[in-house]
Amino acid sequence: MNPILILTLTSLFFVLLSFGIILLWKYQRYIYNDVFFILLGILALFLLDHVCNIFEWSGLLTEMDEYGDFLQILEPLFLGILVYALIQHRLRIHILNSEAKYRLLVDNQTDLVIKLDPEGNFLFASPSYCRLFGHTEKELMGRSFLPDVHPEDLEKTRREMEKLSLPPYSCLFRQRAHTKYGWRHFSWAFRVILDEAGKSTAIVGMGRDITDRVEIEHKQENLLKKLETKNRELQNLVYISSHDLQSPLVNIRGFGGELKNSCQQLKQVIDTLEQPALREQIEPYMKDIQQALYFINSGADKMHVLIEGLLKLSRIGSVELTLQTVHMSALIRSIVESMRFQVQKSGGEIQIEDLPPCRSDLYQVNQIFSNLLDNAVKYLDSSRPGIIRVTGMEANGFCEYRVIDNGIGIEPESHSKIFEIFHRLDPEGPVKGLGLGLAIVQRILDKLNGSIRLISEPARGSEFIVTLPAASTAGA
Amino acid sequence: MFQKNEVITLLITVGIGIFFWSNRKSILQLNGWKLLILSFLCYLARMIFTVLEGYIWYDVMNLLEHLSILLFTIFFLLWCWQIGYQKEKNP
Repeated sequence: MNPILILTLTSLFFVLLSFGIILLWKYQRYIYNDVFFILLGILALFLLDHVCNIFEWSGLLTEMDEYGDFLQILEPLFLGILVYALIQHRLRIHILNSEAKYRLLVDNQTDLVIKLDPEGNFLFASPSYCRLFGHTEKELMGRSFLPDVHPEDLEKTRREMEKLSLPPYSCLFRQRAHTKYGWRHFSWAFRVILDEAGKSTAIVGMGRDITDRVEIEHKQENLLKKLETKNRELQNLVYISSHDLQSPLVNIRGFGGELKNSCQQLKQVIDTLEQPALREQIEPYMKDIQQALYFINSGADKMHVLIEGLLKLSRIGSVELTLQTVHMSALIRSIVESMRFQVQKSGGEIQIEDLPPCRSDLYQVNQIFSNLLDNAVKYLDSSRPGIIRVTGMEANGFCEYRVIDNGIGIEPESHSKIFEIFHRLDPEGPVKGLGLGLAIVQRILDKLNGSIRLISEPARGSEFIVTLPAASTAGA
Repeated sequence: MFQKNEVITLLITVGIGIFFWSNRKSILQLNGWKLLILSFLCYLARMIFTVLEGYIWYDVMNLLEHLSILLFTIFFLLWCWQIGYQKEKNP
């Protein structure tokens, strides 16, 4: 081969390698130390290899060829080491980035993050924990988690932590702990980290300061207690006042009746009087007295019914419930049977489908459906044959009963008002009542954990939907 | 006639090539991986030509060997420059 060509290529090669070494030197600070030295080693190997070759070609030192051969073997090895080092650096950067990402999340958490050993000693505490408890992470390491816990919550905390040794290896609890701001309430969720053999290696806990929430809960509890007391007082007041009003009312009605009888006797006496002038003089007064008595008696009767209704309503709150399986089909049939005359008179018909049994108080459920069916019959539309249907179905642990009629219906704006006490849709209408029936239904259902809602359109009919716990929920 | 050390170096280079192939996923994530692979292929070619020159067309193979090593050097230096330059721009 042309020696000039070889010489040219070799010179070029030398120039490039020299340039490479300068280049490496320039960028030294941007290259990892180990990579830098490997690169330098590779370039040096190639340089030395060619120096040996030149000596060999020139015939100056033929034995140099052996050194060159040895260096040549090292070249690919150095290339391999270089790539291995680069891969390792890449992995290290990846791990560092990943760690930095998670550390950023943990360091900026407002929730408390801790890691304990299986004995409950600190292995890690997030900055939020250290800030709140006024300790450094170094101070906490190896220390038990329990000393900051309120003495009254210590036993509970221990008990909960003991649960961690059994599946599902997690626990949730609340505790008070002493922070640098005083005693605070915390909610903790602990989970055990298990190794491949299923042995506990660490416990990870996430905590949240719930002091504000606990204070609100306490306030709510107190308010609820106050509300219950006031409600009881109000019920007692209604009951006592209704009860006490009864006795003067009994007198009014009783003596009113006696006065009426006396008036009738007096009238008979007047009718037998022989002086017509005197009779004519007395008669207008008699008429006035009779009219006044009529108003007094009818007013007293109305007041009696109202007080009875109020007493009934106030008794609902205090009545003891006897929960049992209520066979609704039989119950509704017995109610309809007792209303037979009323239904016949209205010209309507009541159809009862198979109804699922519910778990409730028999007497109260009877009251609910008596009131609903009574209303349905009373408010049938006289212009068409009245049909009332009672249907029922069970879903999600509740029974839904529907009392559907094709009566006069209710205006949408009155839907929310009809459950109010003494509210009547048409007080001057032909149907008499006090406006207590649906209020009683609503009160009973509140007590029975049930609910009622209404779907209705004027001139098309109404549908009352009553929900009660299903019989299948017994013992659940 | 081939030399023993040349065959050993070729075998080592092939071994390194297998190492590259088995770590290709990691290598593909390295900066300037194309230049690095190109330079390695040139080096592998150099070793093949070195062994072949002992059997056939000595002059041609020798020239190809020197050209390969020259190309290897160029690609390798370009790769060095690229990683250094990129690190300087985005430390």
